[in-house]
Amino acid sequence: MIPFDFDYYRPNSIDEAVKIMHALTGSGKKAYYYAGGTELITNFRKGKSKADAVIDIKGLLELTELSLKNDELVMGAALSLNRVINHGVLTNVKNDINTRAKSSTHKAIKSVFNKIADNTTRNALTLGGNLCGRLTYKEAVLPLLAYDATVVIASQDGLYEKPLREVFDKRMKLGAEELLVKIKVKFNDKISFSLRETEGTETDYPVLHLFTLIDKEELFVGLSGYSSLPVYQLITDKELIKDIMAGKESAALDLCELFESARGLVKEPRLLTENTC
Amino acid sequence: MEWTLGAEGVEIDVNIRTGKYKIRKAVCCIDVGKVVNPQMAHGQIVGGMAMGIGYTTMEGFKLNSRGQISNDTLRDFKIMRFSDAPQYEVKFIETPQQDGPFGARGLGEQSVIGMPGAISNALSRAVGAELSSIPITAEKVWEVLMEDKK
Repeated sequence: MIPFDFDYYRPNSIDEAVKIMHALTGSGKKAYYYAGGTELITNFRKGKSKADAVIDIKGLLELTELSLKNDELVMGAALSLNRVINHGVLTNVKNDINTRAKSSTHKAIKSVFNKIADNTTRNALTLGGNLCGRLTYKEAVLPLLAYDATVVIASQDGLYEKPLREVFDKRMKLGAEELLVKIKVKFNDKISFSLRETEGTETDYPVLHLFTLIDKEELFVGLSGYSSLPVYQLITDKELIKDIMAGKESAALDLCELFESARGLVKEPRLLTENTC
Repeated sequence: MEWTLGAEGVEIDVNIRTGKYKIRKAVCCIDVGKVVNPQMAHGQIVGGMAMGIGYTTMEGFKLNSRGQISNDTLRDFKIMRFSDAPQYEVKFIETPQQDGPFGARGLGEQSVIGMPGAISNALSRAVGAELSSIPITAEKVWEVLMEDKK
């Protein structure tokens, strides 16, 4: 049970949503955009978070768009992860042109999204929630950063687009009232790799989620779980990339060196072994 | 007086690089008195085995650096899921309970008891070191493997 009262708003447009947020924050109220609610509702119930109002954006069409436009995948921020993983737009790519690029991109995104939480939770957990929420892992950001995605953001001044790499620095740097609307990913056939390790079960939070994307020009290495917040590096040394792609042992990357700024931020929760607490 | 006696065992695959393991098969042979409804009796025993597996492999409180429990909801306190379930095999021995209805005895709790020992023994044998403190997480197995390497 949520132990406090709050106001519920259901705007009919993005403009209205942003205006409501502006009015609420302007009057000193604490408000959240709400879609899946997997984080908000849990935190409200646990007393970790409180709100004077929630603004329900689930019904806004632009935020639930899932489409292929030219050579680009467009994903609304209020889409659940399972809708992105399972939608026919992505699973029925065989008959389209540029099949290899689409298939490769979809496979990469799916390889990360499929590992987040569990299947039931992924029916509610949204892309925007995973990127913008308070939970530190934000694993969905890894392939999106790798593919140099573009984000569409709504503000008081209307919609604007920016590369995700300019908006995300360990967390999404959005203005207080801004709303993430959609994410666009250009297809390509770069080679991807995803590895997720947890403390225990597959559905645990990650102790390490590694995602890499490579072609002759650039190697992307992203980590979640390793440090407090996701970090990534872009390697553009072509000789090094060439050696890595050729599988030369001498080209192995030291991830600790690569992410020296993330060292010392690893969380170490203790596990009570006696089960007596 | 008749006792409910049983024996349990497991087959486990262990990744000796990461410490992750999967219980492939769990077996139980148990004397439960007269089995009146075999399907229900099987369900009771399997349910107990599942509880024992969860208890041994994943259930446990985690403390943050301030000594507060950080997994106090089902979201974070992991229990067995369908995908964690091994192949179960149950066999019954029926020594009738003299004073029980149609010779039946209560059953269900007993199959929990042997699972921690079975899993602990199997893992200890697999990694060549004692793993006897539950829950036996992949991290604990990994730590033991790293100790061994040193």
